[in-house]
Amino acid sequence: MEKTRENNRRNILKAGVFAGVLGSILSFNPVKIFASNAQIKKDEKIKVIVHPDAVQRNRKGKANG
Amino acid sequence: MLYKETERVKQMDNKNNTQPNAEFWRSVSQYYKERSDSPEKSPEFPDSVKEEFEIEKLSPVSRRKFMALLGASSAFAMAACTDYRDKGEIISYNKKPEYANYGDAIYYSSSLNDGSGILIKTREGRPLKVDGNPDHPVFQGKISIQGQSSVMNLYDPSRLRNPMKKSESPLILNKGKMEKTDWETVDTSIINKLQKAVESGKEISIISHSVLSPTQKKLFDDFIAKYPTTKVYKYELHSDSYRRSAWAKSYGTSDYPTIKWNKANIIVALESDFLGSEGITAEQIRGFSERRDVNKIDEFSRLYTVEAGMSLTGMNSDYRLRLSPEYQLEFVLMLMKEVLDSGISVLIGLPNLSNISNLKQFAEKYSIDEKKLKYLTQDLINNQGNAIIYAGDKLPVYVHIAVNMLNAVLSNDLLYDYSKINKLHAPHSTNKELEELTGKMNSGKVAVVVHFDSNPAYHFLSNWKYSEALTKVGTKISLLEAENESSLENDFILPINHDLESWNDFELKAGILSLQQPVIAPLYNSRQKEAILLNWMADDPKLYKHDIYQKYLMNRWEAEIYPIINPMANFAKFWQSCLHDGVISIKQEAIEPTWSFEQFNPKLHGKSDFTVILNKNYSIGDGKWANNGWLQETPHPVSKAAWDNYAAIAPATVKKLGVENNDVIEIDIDGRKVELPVMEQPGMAEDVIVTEVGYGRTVIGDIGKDTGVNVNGLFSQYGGLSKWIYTGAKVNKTGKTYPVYSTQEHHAVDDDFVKDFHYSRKIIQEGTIEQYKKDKKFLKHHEHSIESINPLRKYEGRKWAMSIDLNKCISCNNCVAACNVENNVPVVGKEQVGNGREMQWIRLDRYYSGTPEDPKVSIQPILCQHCDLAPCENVCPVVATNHSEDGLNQMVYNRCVGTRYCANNCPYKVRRFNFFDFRSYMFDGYYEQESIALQHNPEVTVRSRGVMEKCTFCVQRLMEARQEAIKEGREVGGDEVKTACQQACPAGAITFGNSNDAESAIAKAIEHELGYTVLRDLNIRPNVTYIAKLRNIYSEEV
Repeated sequence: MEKTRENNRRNILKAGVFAGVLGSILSFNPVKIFASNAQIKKDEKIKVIVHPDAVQRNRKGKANG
Repeated sequence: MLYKETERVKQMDNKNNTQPNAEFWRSVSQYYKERSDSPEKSPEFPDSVKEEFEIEKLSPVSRRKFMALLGASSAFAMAACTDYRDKGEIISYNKKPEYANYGDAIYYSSSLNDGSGILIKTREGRPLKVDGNPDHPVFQGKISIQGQSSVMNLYDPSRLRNPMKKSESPLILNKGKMEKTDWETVDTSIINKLQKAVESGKEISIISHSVLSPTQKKLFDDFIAKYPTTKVYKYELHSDSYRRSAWAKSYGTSDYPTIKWNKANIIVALESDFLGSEGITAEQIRGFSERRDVNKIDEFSRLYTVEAGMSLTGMNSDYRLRLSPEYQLEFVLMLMKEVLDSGISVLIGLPNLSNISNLKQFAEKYSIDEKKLKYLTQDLINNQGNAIIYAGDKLPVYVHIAVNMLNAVLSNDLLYDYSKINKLHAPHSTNKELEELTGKMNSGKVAVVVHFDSNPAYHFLSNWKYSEALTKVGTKISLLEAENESSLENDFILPINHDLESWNDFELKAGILSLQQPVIAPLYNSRQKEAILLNWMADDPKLYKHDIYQKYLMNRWEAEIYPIINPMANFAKFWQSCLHDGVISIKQEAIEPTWSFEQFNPKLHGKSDFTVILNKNYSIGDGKWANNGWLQETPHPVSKAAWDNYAAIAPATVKKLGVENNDVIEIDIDGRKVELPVMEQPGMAEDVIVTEVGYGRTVIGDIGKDTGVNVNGLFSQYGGLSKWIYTGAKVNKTGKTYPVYSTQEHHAVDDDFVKDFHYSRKIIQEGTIEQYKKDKKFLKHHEHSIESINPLRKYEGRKWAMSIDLNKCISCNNCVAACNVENNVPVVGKEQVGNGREMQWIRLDRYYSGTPEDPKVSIQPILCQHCDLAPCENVCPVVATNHSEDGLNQMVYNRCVGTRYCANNCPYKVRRFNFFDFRSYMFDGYYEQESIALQHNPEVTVRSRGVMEKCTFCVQRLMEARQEAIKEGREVGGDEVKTACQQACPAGAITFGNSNDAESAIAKAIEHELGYTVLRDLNIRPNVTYIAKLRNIYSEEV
């Protein structure tokens, strides 16, 4: 029983270490698994801001040209 | 459940003795099955539970091990998901500007960097659709396909996001690497280098494209004043430089007038593609199509083209003559001789025409139909002052001078519009100047090179070896939206704003000024290219403000434009008004120059070997637009090829060379060699090769990289008939093949089975002006009434319908481009185009008839015909496609399961299937990136894999108009809604509206004598009516 418990603990530890290493690799993302995300870093998120000095053109009712 | 044969036999035996298990049964097997409550066959309690607990019989995996594995897999999953994109917080739009309503589009007037006046539609701050500014006197609401597709460049993921400088790190691994930096560091460092360059007397070279903006010109002048050793070089790969040069020689000014195309009864285009790729096509197409109105049949113009290749203009001509470009001068002089022989008196000095062939000799010499030549000369003589002869940009200067002279002889200069002078603010640098630049770079006389949104490493002549010379320059700076061939090994690469993020003004025609204003703040850490130069001139560059160039522009306008206009309002109001309208006209007196050319005795050219013509591509231009997937995938208007360039060769020459389509040949012009695949092109002159530039880019985003072949190596400043036409080329077979995918078969003309099938099936119906004048219903005689056993549904309210006038449609692809943008049409890539899976909702079918040597071309835009009895609707098993009460054949994307029955049953083949999620499938998810998501029109669903789609008649625009009408308590007007294709069509070929409104334009078009529906005999009652094309040819030709 003691031996089984020891084995299980080892298995859990092994699995945990494995998961940790794999998780780190995936986070580093060397093979660009999430290619689209990899290209935009979090500090470079695109912000849409209307230019304050642009003069809009009121075309109500003529939206379709 | 498997049913063993032995058991079945056993049960069969039992059957005789037993009653069926139940009264109702779903299958025979169920009928013969033993009762479910039989303890032997359907045990309620499994053995393991009933039996004693035996540890050996259990699974060897312990509970703990199972838990460990479960935990590990959860950890993997969590680790793998750590990099998922943060979608951001969702907050309510509670602090909105007073003019903005969520869901309502806001429009802005502005300009593109090519000077086009545009109207931009934005939603929630995102520019979504670019159309022409209807108030702009030149563009009048229409632009080019590049302008239509330009919004994709704004959101292009390959755009630079931060300034970069070459690493100064001592580490070997980092040596020469570009690293992210900040603007302050960049500006300080560059200003230091500029000052040192001035102190040492070395040149600062700015290499730019054409200067179309007066304020930009002022900026360059100011920069030169600040840094006196600066020299600004201007170039274009294709330009009107020969036309300007000829005008300077003919009339003493290089600024030439606009042609009044709408006043010309006869147009003779010499190697000119004025409807396709030369000049301001939107303006030219409009003028041409005005005279192709079936309701003004007596005002139809006649178009003659004389060309070697098959151009878009040539496709639309009434008479087409094939002639190699070397003989164009002789052709013009022959016309002049014929005209003078008719007794026209001439006031200007003429060249000696005694050695020039007469019409008959010329026709024999160059195998041209003499009858066509006679028609042409007679038309020119009979329409003096109302005809125009127009030489193409690629023809040499002396041909332009001869054409100017012939127009003057025939009084055709009456069609020159001097109120619209084509203005160039600074002349292009000559080849000699550009070659000298590379010489100076090589000898160390250039200290700083600034690529001002240009790409000389790709565009300059290969024998100048620009890239090599660049390595010898101390400081290399590129101001670019995305990296290109010229930014390789640069010291600084600086991101610049897109056209929609910039300020500027443009003056394409003298006195017509258009303004450019940003409709979105820069998406990235970029600056306007003019602002970058301006900041390098500032006393303290650290005090940079984003509005530095805006103020510079406003100051110039306040000082120079405002006093001329002298309005009642103050400058601030005047400025607001100009930005609102996007354009302002300054009255200028039209000065008509007089003929000033004295002597003109040019030498005639002979022909040897092959002649090579280098054209600008209709879609990607000189390569600037190569990373725009929509433009790459737009089929070539003539060959229908996409994603590639090729060598277009006449069928007879193809046979002579012993090659086939897709065989690769080597073109050798004096040792300058390029390998290209062959494309057999009906209607071309023999021994001529036409190819297009703009392909073979190597430093560009994933879309444009390595598409097609870079043919810029064929350019030379020596030996050519002109910069774009070279004679004496040799052609060798290489034995290689390369597939070029066309969206239409290459050989339809030669194939007996399909020969003229568009006529026999009445898909294309056409006639001549003469036929129409004699009998207005000449196309209706074959029609018979079609009966149906089913009662037709009546549309009591609105019924949407479309009409396309084939007299006006010229196959310019503007409709395709506009539809792509409006309806979020995906890009599928070359391979999928090869599989016939392009997704464009509207296609321009091109049919040839006649012989491969002298074919007639018919064009027909085909989109969903929204049939009343749509065959696609009957076969859909899930009713995903059905009919609306206002006559639309609609698609329910959520319901579609992708059987593709509808596409198979559609006789027009207009349904498009998403074989993949093309956004993620293409180029490793290039079009799935965050920036591209901003480009999508929120009014149109982005379709996913496995879904069918097709033209909706822009149902989102119909809904918008309906909402407006409901709000205002009225009905939607018959002509109120414009579809995206209709809005973009520069020829005005498309009419759309409510066919139940008798006053609407569409109702009248449907009733027109020339109106017909395609495949009418199928009785599926399509709602797209085509107005049959009338060719303006002489009656004996019919």
